[in-house]
Amino acid sequence: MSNLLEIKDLYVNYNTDEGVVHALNGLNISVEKGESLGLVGETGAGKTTMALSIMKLLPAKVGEITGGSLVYDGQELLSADEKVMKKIRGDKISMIFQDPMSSLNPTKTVGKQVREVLDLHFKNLSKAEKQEKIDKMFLLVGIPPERQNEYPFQFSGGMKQRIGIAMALIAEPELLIADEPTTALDVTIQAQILDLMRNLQKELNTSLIMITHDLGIVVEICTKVAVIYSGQIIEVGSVEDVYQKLHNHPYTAGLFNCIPDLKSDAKRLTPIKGSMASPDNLPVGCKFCDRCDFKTERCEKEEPKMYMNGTHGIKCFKYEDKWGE
Amino acid sequence: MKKKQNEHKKNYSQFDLILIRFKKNKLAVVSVFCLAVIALIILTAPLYMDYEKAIIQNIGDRFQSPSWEHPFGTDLYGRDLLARVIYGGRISLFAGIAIIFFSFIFGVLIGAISGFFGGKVDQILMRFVDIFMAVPTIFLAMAIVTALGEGVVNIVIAFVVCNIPSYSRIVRSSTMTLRNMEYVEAAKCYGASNLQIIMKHIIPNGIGPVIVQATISLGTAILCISSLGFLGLGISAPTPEWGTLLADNRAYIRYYPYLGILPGIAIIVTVMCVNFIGDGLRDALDPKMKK
Repeated sequence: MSNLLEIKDLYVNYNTDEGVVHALNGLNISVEKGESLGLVGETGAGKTTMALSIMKLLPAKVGEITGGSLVYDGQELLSADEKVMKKIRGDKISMIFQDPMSSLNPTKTVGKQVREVLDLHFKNLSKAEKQEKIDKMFLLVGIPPERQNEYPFQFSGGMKQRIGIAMALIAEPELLIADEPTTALDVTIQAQILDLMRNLQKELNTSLIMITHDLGIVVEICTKVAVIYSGQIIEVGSVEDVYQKLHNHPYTAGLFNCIPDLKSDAKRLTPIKGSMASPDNLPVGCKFCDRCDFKTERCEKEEPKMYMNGTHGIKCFKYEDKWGE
Repeated sequence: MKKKQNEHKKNYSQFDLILIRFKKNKLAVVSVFCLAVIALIILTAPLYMDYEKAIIQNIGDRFQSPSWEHPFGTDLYGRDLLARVIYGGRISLFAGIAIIFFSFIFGVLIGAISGFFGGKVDQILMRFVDIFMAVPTIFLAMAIVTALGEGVVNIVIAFVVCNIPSYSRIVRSSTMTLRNMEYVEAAKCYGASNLQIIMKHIIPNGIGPVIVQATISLGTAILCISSLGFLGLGISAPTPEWGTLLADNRAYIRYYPYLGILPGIAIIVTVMCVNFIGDGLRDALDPKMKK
């Protein structure tokens, strides 16, 4: 299969008044057609920055892509101008937002908001055809089409997120970025939305990047996992590779330790010690070394490469001898 | 029962819904009716009343109390006060509404654009606005009218320029919070252009406070037109106009109170009607008020 999206060595800085914040530091990731990638990382790891970089919607003047390449479907996005990007946004790449309460315009009926996306990307459809498409999409996400003349405040959070999904999918994008789409929802609704997304993703054969900090969500709907830390992918692999827990990056292993296990007798969870390296003052070597139990002197001075074993890649010296590059 | 509910919800256009919500505010509906009656009386004046009656002086009849012949009495020069109030409205009401209408449109646009783009655009637009804001309204209006020449149209232009700053400041501040909302970001993600975002997302969400500001300032606008007239730059005598009626008759209010009270009532009723309509409109335009 061919790569739909390929990010190579992407560097993004935020130039703030207090100094330069290195948000992404040589990020490498690729997404194939129809694949669903789960991007896991803690707050500030660069998950949202990556999503915004793909859309080229980093805050103007502050956010700056300083290096790397971002190839979408054979086209380099970093050199693409705003006109090209406008056509890509919504049409080719679309996004679902974290908070459905604030991602819908309160003064417009939901049907109208979905139609606006259609108006932008399907200009030559007739009004009736558009309406038909909208009705179908509402059914698909599980909202009665007759409710499209209602306003966002008349819907519950879960239903609003369904509308958010409808807006993201109505233009039939090839790549869907979901930025923590279930964080603002309670657990039962979360399960429903995940179900819906999994089914839609299969049905429409959309590629998906699922951004989350919840390892449980990833295993629900993704086929591939990437763990992001300090703006780098430190572990990547299929869900089986990572979740078997045979070989993991120390950070990923730490994340797994933070999940309560019904089978074990442990009274307390073992959190990862310390907190993430400050992005305006990153360590020279491995970005995780200050928190790592397996730290050697070399880790502080030299940055490990991504060592691969089949589809599974880990960025840690522990695997240097066992696995190839 | 369920079926009935669905039927009830369907087939209402946006406009219908706004109308339904507007109708719930009885005061606003009454105000629309009142304003319509006032506008009708003023507009059809030439059909039932000679303009001469409002301007021809007849010193013999001066200071007559209200009677059948002169329902509002007569003024210092013996002119029928009712005729003057009605013909005065032709200028005051329509010039006032025109001022508000145009300054609303330009103010909202300028405010939304400068708030949305920020940076240099904001700096340039707001410094211009600041210049106009720094000069007292009446002086600025005098300067503009002097430059453009007298006449109703020029007076409207002058006050539109004077009023734009306050509108654009209000809209700008609400735009600055709105532009960071997630639905604006979402719209960008779906490929909307800046203009589309301003028109469809920023302005509909940001105009609530300005609508109220606009209706409140109708009274000020009517009085401003008259103060310009008082200074000899506005509508000159003997053309009747509400503000001037008040100003001219002020000296005799002690002995002939109806001279002040009756034109005053005309102004108050009109301004209050517009105020209530503005209130109702703001509620009707905000879908969250729907119960």
